[in-house]
Amino acid sequence: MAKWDPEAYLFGKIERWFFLLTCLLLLACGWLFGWLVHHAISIPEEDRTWTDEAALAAAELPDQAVALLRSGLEFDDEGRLVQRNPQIIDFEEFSGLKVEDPEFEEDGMILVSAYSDAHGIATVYLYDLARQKKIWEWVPDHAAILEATPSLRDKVDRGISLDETTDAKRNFRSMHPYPLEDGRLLIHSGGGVLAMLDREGRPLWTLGGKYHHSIERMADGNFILNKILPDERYPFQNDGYVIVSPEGEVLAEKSLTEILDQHGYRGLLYGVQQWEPGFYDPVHLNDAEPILADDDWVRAGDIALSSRHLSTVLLYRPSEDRIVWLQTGPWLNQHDVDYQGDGVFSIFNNNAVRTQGHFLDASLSQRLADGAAFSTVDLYRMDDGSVTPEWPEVFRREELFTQTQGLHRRLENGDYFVELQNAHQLARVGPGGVRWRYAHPLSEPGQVGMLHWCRYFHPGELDLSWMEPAAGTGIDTPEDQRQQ
Amino acid sequence: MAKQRHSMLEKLSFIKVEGWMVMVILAVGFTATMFYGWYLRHALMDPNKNWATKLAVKLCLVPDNALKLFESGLEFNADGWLVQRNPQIIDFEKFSGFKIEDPDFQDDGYLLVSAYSRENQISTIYLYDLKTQDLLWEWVPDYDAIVEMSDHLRQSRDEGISPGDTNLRDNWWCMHPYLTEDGNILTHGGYMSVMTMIDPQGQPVWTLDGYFHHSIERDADGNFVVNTLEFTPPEETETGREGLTPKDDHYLIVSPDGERLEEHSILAILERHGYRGLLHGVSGWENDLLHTNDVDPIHENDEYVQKGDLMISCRNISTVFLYRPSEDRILWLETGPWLNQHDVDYLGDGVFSIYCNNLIRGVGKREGIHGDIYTYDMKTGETATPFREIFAREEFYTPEQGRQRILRNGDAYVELTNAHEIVRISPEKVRWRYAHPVGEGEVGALHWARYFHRDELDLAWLDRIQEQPDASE
Repeated sequence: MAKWDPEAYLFGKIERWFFLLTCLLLLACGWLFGWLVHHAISIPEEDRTWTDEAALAAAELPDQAVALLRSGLEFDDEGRLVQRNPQIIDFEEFSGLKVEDPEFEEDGMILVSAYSDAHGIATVYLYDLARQKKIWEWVPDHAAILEATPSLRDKVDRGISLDETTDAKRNFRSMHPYPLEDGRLLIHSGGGVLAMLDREGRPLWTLGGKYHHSIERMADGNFILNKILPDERYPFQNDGYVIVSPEGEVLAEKSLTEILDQHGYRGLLYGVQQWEPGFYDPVHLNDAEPILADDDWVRAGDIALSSRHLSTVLLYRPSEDRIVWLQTGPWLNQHDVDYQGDGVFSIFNNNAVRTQGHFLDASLSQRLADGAAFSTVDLYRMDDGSVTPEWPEVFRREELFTQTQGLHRRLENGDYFVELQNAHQLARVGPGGVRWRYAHPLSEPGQVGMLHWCRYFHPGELDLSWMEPAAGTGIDTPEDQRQQ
Repeated sequence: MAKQRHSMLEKLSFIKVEGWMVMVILAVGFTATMFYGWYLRHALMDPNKNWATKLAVKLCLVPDNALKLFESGLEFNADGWLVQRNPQIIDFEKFSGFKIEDPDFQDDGYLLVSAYSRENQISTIYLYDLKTQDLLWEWVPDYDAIVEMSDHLRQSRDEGISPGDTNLRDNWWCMHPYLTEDGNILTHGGYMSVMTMIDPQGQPVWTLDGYFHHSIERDADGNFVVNTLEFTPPEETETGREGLTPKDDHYLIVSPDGERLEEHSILAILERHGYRGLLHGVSGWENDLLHTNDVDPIHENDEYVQKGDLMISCRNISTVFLYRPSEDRILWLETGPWLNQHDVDYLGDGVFSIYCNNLIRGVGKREGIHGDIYTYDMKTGETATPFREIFAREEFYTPEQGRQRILRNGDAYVELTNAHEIVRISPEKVRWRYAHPVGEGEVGALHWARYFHRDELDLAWLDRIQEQPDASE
């Protein structure tokens, strides 16, 4: 048997025609690769073949390598060496609560949903702002949630990876948690399963599907959620709202696409966007907010809906299948519409301009804002149709901005609680400036956990009688606090 | 000598190189291919392309373009160069010239057609008498004289630089020709091009440099209302990229002598009047935010409109609005139900007609899709589609461009630009069709024709020319 001689290969003579042919073949391969990448990007995602997917995957390799290099590595639950969870953020500015207005007496609580490196999943906790202490924490039992959800259990049993979905533990967002009067907590994964947890984080019931964005409660105690609804009439991401009972029964589903299509907004739905290859999400519903009581302007059961990709907010009356009011802008790619009563709505205006497909690129938003981008809270008045941003100079000066996501709540003294999700902080803003900021600390200094839609509560808004003394946890219950 | 050449070739082909060189080339080639794929992916997803990203995209399209070249064939252009057959020559087997489908109907109008002419190697304008289907006159633009008269075109020629794609003879569209009472034609090259008034012999009377595009209309004062835009070439922006400086669509009022009288930004009008959301919030950023394709003046006062009001159509936001310049006020604005529409006309009594392309941009042709003509009644806010049935039956569709005019007897004239035909239809049937013949199985691309009722055209200029002994043969 001939011995392998590397020198013979390295310095062996090859005729030049073969050398030139190799160069030509390489050139042709380069061209073919480029053509394939172009083809793959130019067609809808669902039409891609395995060659398109392979070409795209190869073209993404350098980016993934760089992302890996930047973020670092960690071991996942199954002991595999993987990229550090993107929910762990390098953030040097501050950690925990940072009081900026020491004169101001804060007596509220925040319900924080944020990634916890200790638990390897986004957890939810109640945080007493006055005492700067956690008073309860829900750690979702991810394995039990999978087990309780037939569609997910089936995937796991068949060995189908959840890694690319928000239903995977490391991606699970515990989004926009809604606490109930008995310690239960309703959350979803941020694009996947909906789960009602008990106070220990165990699932009481789950609903498989693509639940996303806000969770709100209606006057009758049912929940209203956002979901991608399968509907063959609409060959794109068909957003709608779903009404679910506290026991997990789906009571109603309604497509926002259908509402717009059937009420004269065909132009807005189909005519104002260059549909991006692989990104057919023309509506992007991000809030369904129920009206809780009748007044001169609205009726209990009306639903305020926010469509980010149309920069449109509307008030829909299901009882009459009627759009009572719809407005496109001046808010840009807004989130979170709240009814303040007396025909006034407040809207978290991201003031963000989208680039084609690049969600987090804020460069165009900065340009439109003439420098540093800033979000605002806009007040819309139904009586005269006026829109007034609240304290835009404060939001501009403090650079309070989030390109995507974001929440607000108008507080009793007129301040605003805001979540600047992309900036990884919560803040209370008054007419003169920021009262405090909060970023979720992780075990490593200089790192915070990604936030997933938090809530502010005034004293007395939450019934915490369900809490038991949390012996040995270091977490005080309200009872403990009172005794102290 | 032949023997020497043979030995040289042999020497070049069979001279030997060491194996490591092949390996290095393979490694470099593999890395370069990976880098190219990565860069290309970013380039394709980047709305703000610079010269390098554009080059990357062009490079990957070489196989597609080669295929197109193979499919379209070759021809000699006006300068004697062998080039790809002009894309304005279209393979079209259905019919050629006029095709009468309703022989009982007598059309007594005129048709002013702008279409590519192989013979003239430039888009040419034709005036037909629909009664007889005779060609009454033909305007062949003297491209060289237009270049000589236009500062921009002349300087570009003299400096040997491109004047812009649609300013090139091969691509000059003679867009939306407007026929004046003395037989002159106002036209432009199609998109972001120079505008010119030509006389009946095709000689330029005047030219205006600028970025002219889409419709040409005349107001009640006899001035022209045209679309233009303020545009900063990418290489002149701070970033060297396009996209951060949007094309700012303007309308311009031009006197019949070519004097610029007034120019206003349509983007600014919409921003000023509360449509910020529609401009910046409903799509990923586009360089061409509005894509205005029609600014059409109201000619007479009535209960609902005033002389001088402007009907404005912005394709990229599927929006039509009525603007009153005298009060700086938007009287009505509607986004849809028309999609990516063209051509809004006032029918009187508060009613407007609009050509609906029914295009969803970024989505290919959908099954069963057809265009439509909408009417919009500003009194009630209601829309109607009186021609939907025939549009559906005949599958009339042009994803881009397109013209409509509702005629006095309730018929409609329609230019299906991308389908390369002009039709007259009633709500029930097709009266006639026209495709511009340029050869066997070939027609010329259309560039916004006009229909005239018989009493709308004063052809005294034609009589005068034809009375002259050297009248055009």
